[in-house]
Amino acid sequence: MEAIFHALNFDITTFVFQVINLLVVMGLLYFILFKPLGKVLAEREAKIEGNLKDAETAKVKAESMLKEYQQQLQNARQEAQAILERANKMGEETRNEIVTKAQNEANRILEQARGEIEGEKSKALAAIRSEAANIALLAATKVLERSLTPEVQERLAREAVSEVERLQ
Amino acid sequence: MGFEAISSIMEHVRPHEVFTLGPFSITSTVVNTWIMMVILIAGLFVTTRTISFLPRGVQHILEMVMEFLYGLLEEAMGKEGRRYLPLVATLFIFILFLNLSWIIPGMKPPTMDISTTLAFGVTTIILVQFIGIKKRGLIGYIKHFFQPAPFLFPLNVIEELVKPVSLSLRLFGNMFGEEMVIAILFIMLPFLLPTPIMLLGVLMGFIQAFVFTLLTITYITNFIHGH
Repeated sequence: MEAIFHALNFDITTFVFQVINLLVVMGLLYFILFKPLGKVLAEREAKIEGNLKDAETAKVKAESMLKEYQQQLQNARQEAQAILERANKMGEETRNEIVTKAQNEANRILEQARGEIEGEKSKALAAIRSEAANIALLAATKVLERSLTPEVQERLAREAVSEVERLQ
Repeated sequence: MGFEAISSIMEHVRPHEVFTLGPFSITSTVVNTWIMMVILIAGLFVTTRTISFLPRGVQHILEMVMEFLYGLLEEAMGKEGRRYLPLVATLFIFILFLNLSWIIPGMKPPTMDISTTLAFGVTTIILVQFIGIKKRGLIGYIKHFFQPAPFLFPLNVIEELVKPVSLSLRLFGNMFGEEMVIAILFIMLPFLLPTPIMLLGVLMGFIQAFVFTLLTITYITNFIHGH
């Protein structure tokens, strides 16, 4: 065994020094490197985890807000549709009302005009009748003053009046 | 092949004594390790003075290494594995630094010396045993050697004893072999060829440090999750 160690240049002093060296390096690296760097890495990890958690919370909140807004938008659309329908209905009703009113007014004016025309016509006819009778009477009077008896004169006058009425 | 043959080859790469410290002879391996330690510690000390929440410059590389090792540990042991980072990361960074120390002209990688690799292997396995005892308790730790069947106790003990040898010889063999190949190629063909082989040496340095680290993680995992 010793021969193997000797052949491979094993030296117990070097061995012991190297053990000490390794332990010293381990201790120094712990304080110089692993502790501060591990702390920074842990802090960063915690921060990233925190950020991820925050992002998750924000995402959930954003999704819920989106849902809420979509619901509100849907409600607003429905409401707008209802208002539009109501307005259309009201417009239609108002139109019908106005048209009916206008028709009634037109009928009334027409009736009134017809009545007035009828009145005027009757008046005119009466005036014409009266005038024609007077003229016929006058003419007959003139003719018959010379030849006819009062009975014939009256019969002729009546015939003349009835003739005028027929003509009318 | 006798030990004399191995000995005669190894004679050429035997670390020489640089100075003595009382009764101890300090070899070039230890001195080279100290030099690399100074470079590593000083470099990291300067770099980590400016560590900030938002990484800049070299901090990216350090974080990348840490995250990579965190990933390996978590994959094997879950979140709990993170606590073993100091052991695992030190092994990776230190062995990598020592493996690549040949970049400095005239320096021989300390991992080419079996004393170094054995020191690392033994220390690692002892620390792994401590982790096992801490994790399972002394009774649980001893019981572990009788599982899955009591008659396997000797094999389990041998397995634990072989682990440091396996770790050390693998690292030593690879680093030594790579250095030998470069040395021989340099003698045979001094131009052009050594350069790609040296690039391969860099890759080998990374791979060996990684293998050592990965095996350490596996050994720790064995104690945490059982066989």
